[in-house]
Amino acid sequence: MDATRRIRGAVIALAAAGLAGGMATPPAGFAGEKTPFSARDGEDLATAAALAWADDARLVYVENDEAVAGGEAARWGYLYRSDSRATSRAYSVENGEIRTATDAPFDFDAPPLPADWIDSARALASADEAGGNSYRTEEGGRVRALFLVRGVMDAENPDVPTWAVVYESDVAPGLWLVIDARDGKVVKRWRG
Amino acid sequence: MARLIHFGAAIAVMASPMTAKAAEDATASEGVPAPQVVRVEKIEPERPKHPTLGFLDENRDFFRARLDHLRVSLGPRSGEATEIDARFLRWREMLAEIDAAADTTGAAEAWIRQRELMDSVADLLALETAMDSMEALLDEQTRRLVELEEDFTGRQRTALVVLLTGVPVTGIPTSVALIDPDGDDFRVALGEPDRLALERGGTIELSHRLAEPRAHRLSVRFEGSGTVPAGEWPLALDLARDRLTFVEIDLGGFDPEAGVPLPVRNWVR
Repeated sequence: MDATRRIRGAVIALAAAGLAGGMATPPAGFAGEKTPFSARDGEDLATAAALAWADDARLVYVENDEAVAGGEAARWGYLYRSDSRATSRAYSVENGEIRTATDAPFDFDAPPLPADWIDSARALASADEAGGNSYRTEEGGRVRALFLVRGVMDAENPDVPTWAVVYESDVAPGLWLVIDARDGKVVKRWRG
Repeated sequence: MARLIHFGAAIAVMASPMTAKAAEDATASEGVPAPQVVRVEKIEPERPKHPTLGFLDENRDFFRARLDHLRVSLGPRSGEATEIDARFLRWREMLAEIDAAADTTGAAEAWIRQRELMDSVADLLALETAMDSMEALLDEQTRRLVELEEDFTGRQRTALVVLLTGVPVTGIPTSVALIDPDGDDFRVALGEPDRLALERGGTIELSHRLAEPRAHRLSVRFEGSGTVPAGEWPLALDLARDRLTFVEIDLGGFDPEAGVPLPVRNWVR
C-alpha cells in the first residue's frame, strides 16, 4: 500500500513537472511573431506578384497596413495599376510573404511612382523633426498613416512623388506633413 | 368588460392564422398562385482577415478629387545611351561560333564523302584527325547549350503548371475550370486529342502561366454533359517565388461519389 502510494506520488510529481515545463517561456520564433520592416523592403516581392498579374503593372501607392514605429511596420500595402486591365490590385506584405492579393474596390489611376524614392524611415524622421515629435509630446499624438503617392498631395508640383505622414490625437486636430520623396524635404504642412 | 376584450382579442388572434390559411386555400382554388413568403436578412459584410490600404479606402473621395485635376502625359524619351544586356553580346558570339563550327563540319563531311576507299594509312590518320575535330566541336556545342539552359532556368519567374491525367469513373469532362476567388478564373475545354490522350494513359497540360508568389485557395470544377464529377474541389497551393510549381490532377479511377478528396500531387522545380 505504501509502495503504491509512493509510486502514485512519483507519477503525479513527474506529470506536474512536465506540465510546468510545457508552460515555460515559448520557444524563440513563436508562430505569429511579426517582424517590422521598411516600405522599400517589401516592394520587390509585391512587384514580382504584380508583374505576374499584369505585364504593365506599375506601383502607384504605398501605405502602412499596421502601426508604424521608427518608419517600419509589420505589414505594408502596395497598390499597382494596369492600363491593359484598367484596374488596380493591392498586395499586403508581412514577414516576407504576401498576405493578401485583392483587386482594389475602385480604380486608382494615379501616376506611377518613380524607381527612386526615399524609404519610409527617412520620411518619418523628416516629418518627426518638422513637428511630428512635438505633436506626439504635446498632443499625445501618434502616426495614423504613412503613405507614398505621386501627384496627389502637392498640387503645385504634381510630378513629384511624396510621402505623407498623418498624425492624429484624441484631443487635438490632426497634423499632416508632406515630404518630398526624392530628398526628404518637407513641402507642405497643415492641421486638420 | 376587460375580460370580454381579452377574450375577443384571443379570438381575433386565433382567427388570424385560420383566416390566412383560408385565404390561401381560396386563392389556390381560384387558380391564383399562393402568396410567397418574403424574408429579409442582413448580409454581413465580408471582413478581410488582413485589411489593407485602410487610409486610402477611407479617403477615396479625397484622393479621387485630387486625381481628377491631374493629367498624365508621356515625356520625351531620354537620349542617353543605356547599358546593353551582356547576354545579347554573348549570344552574338555564340552565333558566330556556331557558324564557324558549321563551316568546319561541312568541310570535313565533304572530305569524307569524297573518299570511297582509304588509299593509305595517311588517309586513315586524316580521318581520325577530322573526327577528333568534330568531337571537339560537339563538346563546344554542348557547352553552349548548357550555358543557355542555365541562363534560362536562372531567370525563372513564379509560374504554375496544371496537368491532368486519368479517366474518372464518371467519364472524361468536356472542360475543366480553375476558380480563384482572389484572382483570375480560367476554363480549359478538352478537345478530341485531349480525350484520346487521357484514354490512352497520357497527361495533358491544362495551364502554364505566371502566378503570384503567395498562398492560393483554388477550386477545381469539371464541366460537361452526362455523368462528369459534379461540384468543386478545393486546391490549396503555396507558390514559391521564382519557382515552377507543377500540379497534377490524377482522375484515374476517381469516383466523385466516394467522398474522397481530389487526387492531386505537386512538386516544385
